[in-house]
Amino acid sequence: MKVEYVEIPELKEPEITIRASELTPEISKLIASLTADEPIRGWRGDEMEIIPLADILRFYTDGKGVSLETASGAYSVRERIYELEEKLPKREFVRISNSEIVNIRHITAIDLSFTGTIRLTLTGGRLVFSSRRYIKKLKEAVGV
Amino acid sequence: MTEEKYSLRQHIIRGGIGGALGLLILPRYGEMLNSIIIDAGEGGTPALIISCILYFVIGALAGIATMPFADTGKELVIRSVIHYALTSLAFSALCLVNGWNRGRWDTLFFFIGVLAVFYLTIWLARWIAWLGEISDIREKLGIKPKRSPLGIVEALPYAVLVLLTSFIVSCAGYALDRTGWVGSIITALIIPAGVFWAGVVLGKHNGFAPAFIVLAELAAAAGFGITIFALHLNLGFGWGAAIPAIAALIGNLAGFALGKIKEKRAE
Repeated sequence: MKVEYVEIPELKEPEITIRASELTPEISKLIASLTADEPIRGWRGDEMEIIPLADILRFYTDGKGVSLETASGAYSVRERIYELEEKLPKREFVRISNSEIVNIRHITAIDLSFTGTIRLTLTGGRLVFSSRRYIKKLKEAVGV
Repeated sequence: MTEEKYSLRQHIIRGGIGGALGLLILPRYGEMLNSIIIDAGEGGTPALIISCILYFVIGALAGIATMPFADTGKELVIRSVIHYALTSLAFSALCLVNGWNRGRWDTLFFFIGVLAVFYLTIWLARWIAWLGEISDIREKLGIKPKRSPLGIVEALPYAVLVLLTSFIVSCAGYALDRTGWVGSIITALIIPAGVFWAGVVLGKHNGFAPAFIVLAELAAAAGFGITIFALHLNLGFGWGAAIPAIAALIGNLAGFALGKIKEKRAE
C-alpha cells in the first residue's frame, strides 16, 4: 500500500483520502478505525481492553448484562444496549432485535425464513436472528 | 384504550360495514346469492338477517386480515391459522344458510379448500415482498448470491404465486358469473395483471429473468386447468392462452427498467 503525507497549512482539520480500485474488507476496516468516535471498553474480569469497532461482530444481552463478541471471544460491556445504540455509528451498527446490535460490515449472508424471520450470518459463521419489526432500521443503515 | 386496540376496532367496524354492503352489491352479479333474495321474498327474513350478520363478520375478518402479517415466526403462523379458522367457520355458516353448497359436504369442503389457497396466495405475495427487501439489502452490502441460469431459481416463488392466483381468480370468476361474460373478463384481466405485477417485482429486484416468461405461462395455464378439472367445466384455453407469457415479458422488462432507473438515481 502506498502511503503519502501532504502538509497543507491552510487546512483547519486533518483530511484523509483513500484511493483504491474497489472497497476491500481491509479498506473498510481502515475506514472504520479512522472514523470510530469513541472506543469501546471490553471487560474480562477486572481487565479492561480497548476494542476497535471494526473488530466487533455484535453486542448482545444475556442474563448477566451486555456483552460484545469479536473473532477472539466475548467481553462484558458496562453500557446498556440502548446507550450503545445511541453511541455507535449508525452506518456501521444496527439494532436487529431487543437484545442485539450487529456490525453491518461483518454480515456475510442474509436469509429469509417462510415465517418472515431474518437470519443474518456474521463473519466466522455466527448466526443471529432478526424480526420484520427491525427491517426498517436495517434498510436505513445500509441505505436502501 | 390502547392505540393498537383502537386500530383493531376501527378495522373491524370498517371491514364489517364493507362486508354488509357487499350483501347489497354482490347479488346483482349472478345466481350465487339469489337464494337470499328469494328466501327474503318468501318470508325467509331470518336467513337475510343471519346472512347480514355473517357478511359483517366476514367483512370484519377481512378488515383485520393484514394483522397476522405484522409479526414474524411462531406468532405469524398462530395468528394466520386462527384467522383462517374463524373465516372458514363464518364462510361455512354462510354457505349452509344460503344453500350455496347445494346440500353437498364435498362442495363445502371444496370452498374451504379454495379459501385456504387464497390465504396461501396472500401469504406468498407478502413473502415475495419481504424477499424483495432482503434482496435490496444484500445488494447494498455486496453479498447478493450469484444469479441462477436464466433466473430460474429467482423466478420460482413468483411462478408459484401466478399458479395460485390463476386458480383463485378463475374459481372466483366462475362463482360470480357462471355463464356470462363478467367472470371471463375478471379472469382475463386479473390473471394477466397479477402476472404483470409479479414480473415487475421480479425484474426490479433480480433483473431480466427469461425463465419467468415460460414458468408464468405454465403456472397460469396450470391454475386455470386445475379450476376446469375441479369444477368439471367445459372450457378451453383459446386464443388468450398466450396472454400470461406476454404479460410476464412486458412486466419483467418494465421491472428491469425500473430497477436500472433506481440504480442510476442512487448514483
